[in-house]
Amino acid sequence: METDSQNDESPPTPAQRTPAKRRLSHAALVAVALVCAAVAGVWLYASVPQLTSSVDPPTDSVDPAIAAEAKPLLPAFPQPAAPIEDSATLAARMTEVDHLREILQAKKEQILQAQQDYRYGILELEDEARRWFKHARIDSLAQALKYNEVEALLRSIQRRQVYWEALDKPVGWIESASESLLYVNRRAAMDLLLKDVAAGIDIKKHVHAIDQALERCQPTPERLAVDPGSIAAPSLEVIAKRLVAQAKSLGASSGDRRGHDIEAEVCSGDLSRAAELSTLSLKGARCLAESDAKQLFLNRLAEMPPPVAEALSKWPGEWLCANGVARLDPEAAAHLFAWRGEWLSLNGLGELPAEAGRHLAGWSGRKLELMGLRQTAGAGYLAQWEAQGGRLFVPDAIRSAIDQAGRK
Amino acid sequence: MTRTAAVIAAKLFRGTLTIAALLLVSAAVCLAAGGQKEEELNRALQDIKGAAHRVGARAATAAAVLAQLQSQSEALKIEIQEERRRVGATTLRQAQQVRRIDYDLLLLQQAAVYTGQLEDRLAYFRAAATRLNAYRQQVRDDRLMLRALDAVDSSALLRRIRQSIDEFQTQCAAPLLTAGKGEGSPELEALWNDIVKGR
Repeated sequence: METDSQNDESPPTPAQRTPAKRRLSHAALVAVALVCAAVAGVWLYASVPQLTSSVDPPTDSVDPAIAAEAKPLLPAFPQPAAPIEDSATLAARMTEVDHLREILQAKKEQILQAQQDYRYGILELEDEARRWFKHARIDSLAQALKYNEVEALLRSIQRRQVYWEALDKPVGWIESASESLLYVNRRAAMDLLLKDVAAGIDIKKHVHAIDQALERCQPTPERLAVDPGSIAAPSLEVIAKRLVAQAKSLGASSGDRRGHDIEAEVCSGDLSRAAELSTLSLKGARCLAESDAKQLFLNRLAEMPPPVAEALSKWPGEWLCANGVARLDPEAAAHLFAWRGEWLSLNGLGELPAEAGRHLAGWSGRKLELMGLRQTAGAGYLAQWEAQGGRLFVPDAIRSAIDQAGRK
Repeated sequence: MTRTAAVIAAKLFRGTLTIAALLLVSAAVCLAAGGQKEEELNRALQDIKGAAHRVGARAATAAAVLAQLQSQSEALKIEIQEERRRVGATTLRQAQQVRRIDYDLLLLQQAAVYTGQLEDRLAYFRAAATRLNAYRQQVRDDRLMLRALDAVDSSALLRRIRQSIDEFQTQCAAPLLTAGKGEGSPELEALWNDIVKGR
């Protein structure tokens, strides 16, 4: 006999279940299945993100804003960069190269200055020799060698020419070394630029190349040495022939003789007739530059050759008047506007070419007179110089052009 | 008789309930499967976005370096032109006698090799960006279709996307150029002629 207690304590076997109980049991199972299915559906629905979101806005290209939002899904790519210490070593070497190039540049300027001194020295000697040739009516080397002074002049010209040419060699060596250093530096800089994004950049190789260049390009005395003996000296015959031809074209006027006499006075310290000079030799200019006069009036000079301008630029005075000079070539302008004086009068200049004007821009003087100026070519430079505090005296038409240039 | 009718009714009721339950379960399974597919597509979109970011960043790096190299090359060309005018060189042979021009030409030649490689890389990254954009459009289209019909097979597309992203990832991680590669090095004569012609 079955009891309720028995039914409660142990589950009935199928045979034991009554039809009503079996119906209830089936319904319960179905209900549980339904609930499970519903729960599973809801869970799946909820677990898929953005299922309910609307259609994404279309984009036609890789939008940087989108890209910026994106989380980095991939690991950062490895950088094939050179070790930091190698790069630092290379950078230090490159600085050494720059330094050595500066040294070489300074040395080159020194040598070029010496070369220029020789050139001007030759001009001075030639001036003197021409006068001798003219005065003594010398028209051949044989005649010239009869005068000890003239022979000495010719041999000095010859020697200076040799020295002058001999200095080409160290200048060439320095230029070559400097270019070589510049190249290794630029080549290394190019690879340094790429070191973080390129493979196969050998920083050590560049360091090695620079080390070799630094060693190779040191301006040692041996490397800069000159051998005047290896230079073929110009023959005295050739020098004399040239001077004879030049002496013939020299004027025989009393003015020339007077000019020579005045220069001689100047060189002996007497500047009382300096304003009467209509030509000025390099030697005369050097003598003027050594004077302690505060003002120099050279208004009869019609020309200002570069060597003369350079010599005058060393004069420590204040006011230089050269109102007879009608034309100033850029090289002469470079020298003249390097003069440390305060007041420059060039009222004979009809134009200041741009090439010459460029040098004016850096002149440290305070007053400049250009009252003869007719052309406005260098107006921009004049405006620039004036803007730096210079006081400029020019005709009205030029003033307008300068003001216009200044406004630009 | 009544008992028989009750049994039949009960059977009918049970059958109906079973069918309804089966329908609900299958609907839930379908919903779950559709959700899974959509999730895959969304994940692909995220991957594409990330890859596009990487490619864009790498392309920007390449473009920046390329611009610097091009600027250096232009400066070298200007310097060569100035030197050429200064010394009056017209032929390459004459030009090579001038050290600055000679060295500048060598630098220009090297820069050309580098810029050539960088331009190739840049072109590759631009193509990659275009491809990723196309994939993005396609994934969005597939997702729309999935939402509308619950039946889209995107497996081939997703496979292609995965392969492409893997490839782009590798390429992004690779150096932009390789020093020492001589390919694409222009002849000095050609470089010189271009400079003389002002190109």
